[in-house]
Amino acid sequence: MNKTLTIAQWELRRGLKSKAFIVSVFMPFIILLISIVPSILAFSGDIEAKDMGIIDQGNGIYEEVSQHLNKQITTDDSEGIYTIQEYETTSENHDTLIQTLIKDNIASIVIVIQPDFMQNAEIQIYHNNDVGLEEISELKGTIRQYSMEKRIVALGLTKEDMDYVLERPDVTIYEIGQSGNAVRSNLIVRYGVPGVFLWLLVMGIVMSSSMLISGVIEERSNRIIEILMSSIKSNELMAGKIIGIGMLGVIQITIYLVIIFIFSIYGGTMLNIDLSPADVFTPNILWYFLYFIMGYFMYAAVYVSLGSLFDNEREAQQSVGFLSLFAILPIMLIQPIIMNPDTPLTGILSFIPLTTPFMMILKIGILSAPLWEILLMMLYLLAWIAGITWAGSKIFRTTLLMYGKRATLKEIIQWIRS
Amino acid sequence: MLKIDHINKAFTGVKAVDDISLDIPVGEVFGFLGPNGAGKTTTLRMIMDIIQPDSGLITIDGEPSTTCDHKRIGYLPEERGIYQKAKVRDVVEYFGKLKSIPQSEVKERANYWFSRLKIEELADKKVAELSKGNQQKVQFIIAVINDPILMILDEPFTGLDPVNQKILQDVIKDFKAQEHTIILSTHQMAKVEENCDSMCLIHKGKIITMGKTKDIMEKHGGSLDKAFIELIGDSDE
Repeated sequence: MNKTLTIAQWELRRGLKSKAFIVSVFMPFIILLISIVPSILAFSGDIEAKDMGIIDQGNGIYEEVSQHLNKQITTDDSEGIYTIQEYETTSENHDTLIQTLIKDNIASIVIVIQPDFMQNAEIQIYHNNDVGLEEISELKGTIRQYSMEKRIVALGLTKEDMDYVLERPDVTIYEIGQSGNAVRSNLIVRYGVPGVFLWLLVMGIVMSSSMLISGVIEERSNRIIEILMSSIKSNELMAGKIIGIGMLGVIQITIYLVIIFIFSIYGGTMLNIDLSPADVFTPNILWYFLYFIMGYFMYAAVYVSLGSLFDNEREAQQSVGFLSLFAILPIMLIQPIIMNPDTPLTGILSFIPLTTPFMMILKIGILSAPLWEILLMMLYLLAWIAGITWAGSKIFRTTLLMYGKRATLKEIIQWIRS
Repeated sequence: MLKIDHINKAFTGVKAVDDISLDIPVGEVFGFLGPNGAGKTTTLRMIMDIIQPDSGLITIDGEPSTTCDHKRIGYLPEERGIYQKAKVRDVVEYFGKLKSIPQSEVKERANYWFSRLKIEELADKKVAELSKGNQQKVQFIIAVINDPILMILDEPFTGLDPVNQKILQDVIKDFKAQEHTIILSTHQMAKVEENCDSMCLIHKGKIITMGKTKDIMEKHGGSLDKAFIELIGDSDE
């Protein structure tokens, strides 16, 4: 046992020092940032002052529209953003005039209010490159509101009547679990938290796969394995490696939990959502934590076992790298699983050991899996990890000194049986 | 100390070791010779329980090699390698711990060997920064850090300059003086003549000759080179 722990300690230290581990810890957050930040940036810039042209095709509402726009879309000092000018066109010069206004920078935006606006509510917005998505969206909203107000007044109602009609109902959702108590349902906790754990586990495994394989390959290709095997039994070596690499997973998830904790304190205010540490750190987090670690152990066992079959990393990645697709599978299927949680697919994936940890995280969060199932599936997964470690040590022992010859599936099965 | 009793090993039908028996007493330096592919490394790996014989028994101090504790056996394999990115000191201490040397002692022993093999200034460097010869010295330290009572050295002198070969030879002599048993596998006949009390020559997995080194030399005109050529040549005919 001491030797196993010495191996585990060595693997852990090597892992912590490797760039691959550092990348695998922070990459999920970097990817999240890369996917979120540009959209945040696109919608967070202040709208700059611009010249605007309005072509009102006979509705007589130019004054009202321009006042409405400058009342709704303002600077921090409540000043209207747009310097608005009215233009008139004929059917002959309509297109040319709009083009000239935009091309010669006379106006950045030209709004064409179609004839019979009160009936068909049609407008067109032309703009140059300075106008972003957020500004367009705000212009559309403002004009939509103007149109609605006009119609409400035309029907003989007041603006207050309109607010009354359009008021959204305040819906509170309660969930009654197996305990029979009604608990206020928080969609972020129910779907978001397991979703985040799933994402972190998938990314952790995909990013670490090369590190998991390369450790074994280095020992084989550098012929270190022969010295190791002269001091330690193959099953002790395998167990030590898996424990060491698994401990990396524990450190990884602990770092994630700290980040999630900090986010749960400040994220709610930042993103204006209903979120607090108490929402995130429910008893379920313990199960997510344990399944995350077991998922990591599972993939460590598989990659360490199979890594011993190859002489170099490239060959190994090409041959067994596809296994990390199993980790991505539940992410790809997350929508159908959420929409229809009782689908047989959920059951099948729960029993494929490479997808069990992911599916259980989803089932615990979304389906409120019962305690007996959570514990039973843990034992199921542990049995697989032990079985793979045992079979892996048999493969390892036979293949460690086989160079330049690829083992066939038949041979591998024979070694495991022997 | 080491008893090998009729061991056999075949790989995909080809016999690598064919009914080899040896009895090496305590405190002997034993030369294990043979041409390339004779079955030397396979035999040494079986002694170390890295691979298992198809039949036959190997015992170390009366205990089967499959169950005995390897903490007092040192092994320098022919095909060598160490973790390139790790520091020399860390690697040596790691393998020392795997040989069950207590944490409190392993550092002290490592320092002794760094100093003895004259690489103390390299101890905190990464292995990849060392020359091939110095890397080989580190591997030698890994083989001896546990103060082995049985030491198996497969081509220990390859790649070393004469000065370092002399350092290694002195270490071997010291171990012998302390009644430790050493198996020395090498193609350098002069080293066998100089160091080994007895020896055996194997070819195609079989023992061709075995006995006291000086007796074998006498039989073949006072030179092991001659003995090697004559015996292997005869065997091939």
